[in-house]
Amino acid sequence: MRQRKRESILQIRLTINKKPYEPDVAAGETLLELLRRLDLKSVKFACGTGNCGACTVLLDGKPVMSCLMLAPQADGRSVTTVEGLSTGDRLHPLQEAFLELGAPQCGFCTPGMLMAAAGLLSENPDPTREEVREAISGNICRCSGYVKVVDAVIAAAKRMREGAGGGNV
Amino acid sequence: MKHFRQYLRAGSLEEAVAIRRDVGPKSLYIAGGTTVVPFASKGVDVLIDITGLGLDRTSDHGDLISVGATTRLAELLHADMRMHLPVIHKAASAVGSPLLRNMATLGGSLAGIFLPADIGIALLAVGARVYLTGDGQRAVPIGDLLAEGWLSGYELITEVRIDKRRPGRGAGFAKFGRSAVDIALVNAAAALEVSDGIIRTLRIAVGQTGSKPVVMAGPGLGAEGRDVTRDLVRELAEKVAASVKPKPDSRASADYRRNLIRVMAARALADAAAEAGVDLAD
Repeated sequence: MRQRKRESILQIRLTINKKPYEPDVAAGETLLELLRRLDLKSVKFACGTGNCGACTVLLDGKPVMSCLMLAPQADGRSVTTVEGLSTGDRLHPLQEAFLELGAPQCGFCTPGMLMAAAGLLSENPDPTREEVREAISGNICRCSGYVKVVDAVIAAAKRMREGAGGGNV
Repeated sequence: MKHFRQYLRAGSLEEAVAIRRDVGPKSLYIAGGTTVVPFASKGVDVLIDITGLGLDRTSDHGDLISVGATTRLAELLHADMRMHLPVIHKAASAVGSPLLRNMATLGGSLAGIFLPADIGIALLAVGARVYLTGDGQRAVPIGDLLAEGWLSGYELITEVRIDKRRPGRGAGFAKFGRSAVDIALVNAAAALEVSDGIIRTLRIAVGQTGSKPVVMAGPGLGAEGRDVTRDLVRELAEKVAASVKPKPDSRASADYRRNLIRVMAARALADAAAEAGVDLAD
């Protein structure tokens, strides 16, 4: 991390979706704001206080809320967003299952749900419904459509265990 | 964009404390950031990152477990913790969502403005010791820290030490929130020592979220020397509820909170007795 001439600006280094970045950031810029500024618009701003999970990304493989983190805190870390889930034109099994089973309703919470689920499946490839519910307990869906999200995560986990392409995460 | 003007990564404990001492109340330590980022007052200009100081290690010292202050709450949820300190495991898993637990740290949970955090209530009941660095180092029973008004000046929590469970001892934790991820309306924890079915020591901590946690010990409750029975648990829970003055807020009236305190205290006590090996069958 390097302090720029103006004291509030720093240069950080981080990896986003496997690519290296060295952005200048303000001391008060949130990770969420940085990611959206870098055109990663899957990451959503909603509550801004860590209550809803719409801004969830993976930080070194673990799901966290990017609105509650400052960009300088991500210096030296690795971030994954929904843009990093798919491989080329091929969607991640979680994305496929969400689409096929109709898990998104309005879709605003979906990126956060996907990243929370991706974090779960990387540690637990065969979760129970209860474990999926716990993993997405910090992700609020205003449409209240949780059942199909759980269905989709369970379906994606099964496909990934059967080797149907693990996607990028 | 938050209002912070400067973000400094401390290279050592001494440096962190020196910066905080120099800058004063316009600075704050930051680790997980889940409280500082959304809630730090507008007067805070300078953040001092303490995550690079090696304060994120958990170590087993035989009779006790030492947990570094910047350990994430999610990192407390491992098999060793479940075996040696089930009450800490339970309280840590009650905090927020997995997303929050991947970020929030143990030290931040104790130093932050959201007292009483679930984990702090459990630590108050089991009588953890908190290690601080400021002008030199000191170790303080967490109850004393509560009495002092928690942290003042530029002191920094470095470590928390907790005695492992032992035969004849037990601890329990109970929380009530509107949903699984809500901040508690009321939380309670109890720790007791039993021999021959009789309570030797007892400590109960209650957090009502609108005010400071309240800690009550055996003598004040008239618990020591009594047989552990379901009736005693009920009686003690009534006493706890009667001696706490909960505050009303937008989430709960004082009466509702008092009722919850009674129920949560009874649950925490019953769990503590069970862990100490007492069969509470009527």
